[in-house]
Amino acid sequence: MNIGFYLLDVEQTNKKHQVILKCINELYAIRPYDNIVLFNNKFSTVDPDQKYYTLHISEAKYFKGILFVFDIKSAMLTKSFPASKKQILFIDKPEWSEKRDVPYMFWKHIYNHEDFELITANETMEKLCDNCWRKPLSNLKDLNGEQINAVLQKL
Amino acid sequence: MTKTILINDAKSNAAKSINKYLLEHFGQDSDYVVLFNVFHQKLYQAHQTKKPNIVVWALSEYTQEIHDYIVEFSSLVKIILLIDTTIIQPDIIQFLNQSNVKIILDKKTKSKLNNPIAEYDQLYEDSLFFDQKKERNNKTLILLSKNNTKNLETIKLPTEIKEVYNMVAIGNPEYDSPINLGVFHYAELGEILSDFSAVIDLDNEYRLECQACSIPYVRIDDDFDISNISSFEPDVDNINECTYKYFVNNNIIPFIRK
Repeated sequence: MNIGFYLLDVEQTNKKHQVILKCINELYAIRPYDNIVLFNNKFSTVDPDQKYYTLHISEAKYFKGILFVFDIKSAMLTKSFPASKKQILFIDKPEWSEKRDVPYMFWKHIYNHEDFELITANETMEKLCDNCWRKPLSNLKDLNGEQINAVLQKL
Repeated sequence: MTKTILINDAKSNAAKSINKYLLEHFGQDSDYVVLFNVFHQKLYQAHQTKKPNIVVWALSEYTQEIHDYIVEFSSLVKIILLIDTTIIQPDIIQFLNQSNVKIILDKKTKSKLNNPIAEYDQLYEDSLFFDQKKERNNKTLILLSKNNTKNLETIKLPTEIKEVYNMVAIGNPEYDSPINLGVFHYAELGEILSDFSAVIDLDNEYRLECQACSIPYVRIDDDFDISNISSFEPDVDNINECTYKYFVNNNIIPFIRK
């Protein structure tokens, strides 16, 4: 299976990025025969444990596989990608309610996009997503390789 | 003899719809030349070069320029003023009542203007609201009030999501809630409404639009309880006559042709 992670501006100081990189390495340990790729535009971090391939984000457009995205900015860029089998949008905060002057249709075209599946970071977000958009594919108790693997098995 | 109609573009939905149907009608008529543009700071030039017989302008675009134009030319040119917003200054009401300007009045503005040539209460743009068969999402849409105090008083839902109550809100960024999904444009409202299973419209502005999309329109009365919705407004009987197209064709066009 081809599994991609789309992550913009990877920073050493960004805790969320560090958790995601750790999660990708754990996923590789679970699925050593799969192609696991990190798409990034800037990689300013040291990952001594790196087991994944890295490619520039421009390569993600024609990536044929499952693509994970972790924020709205990324989802905006990836939603029109023609090749990915499915995109999985990770939601850990209600971005729509933090930017309430953005048109509803902008959010709808992402959260209700038929190529996206939603996964949430906690039970509150799961309920909120179900209330506002649609039922998420999965709620992760923790962002780690095992949980991501469980999401992949649900597809 | 060919007549020239000058129509000023405007930002309000009412003006846009009325202008659209005027353009649609007179644009195909060889007896009329239609000038459609944003005429701010170009009105006098357009008057000198194109000699309009009729000028259509919206109050929401009212400036000193159109005011002066009315003073100078309202006896020579048929000036039609669309009252699409509330007039705050009483001296403008007095001025318009004493002038020769022809008024189209939105009654919701509650402006006390004498002898309008046409008036309306609720109209909708039927070309945007038609999708009655779309699959619904079992959610209720709250169209927020422009007055946020009213939102806070009416929508008494917990701010913490402890259960899925399938309600979302749009239309006022001031309403601080995780179920507030942003703002909307009127042109997109048809597409938005046709997703939902019921609508709570706090300002009572979009009843016709909801009916056109076949969406139950929740009654907001003294017994209104957002957690237990049981009462809906009945359909308006003559909805086909409540469109901008019908209004323009039956009230404004005959007057211009007179």
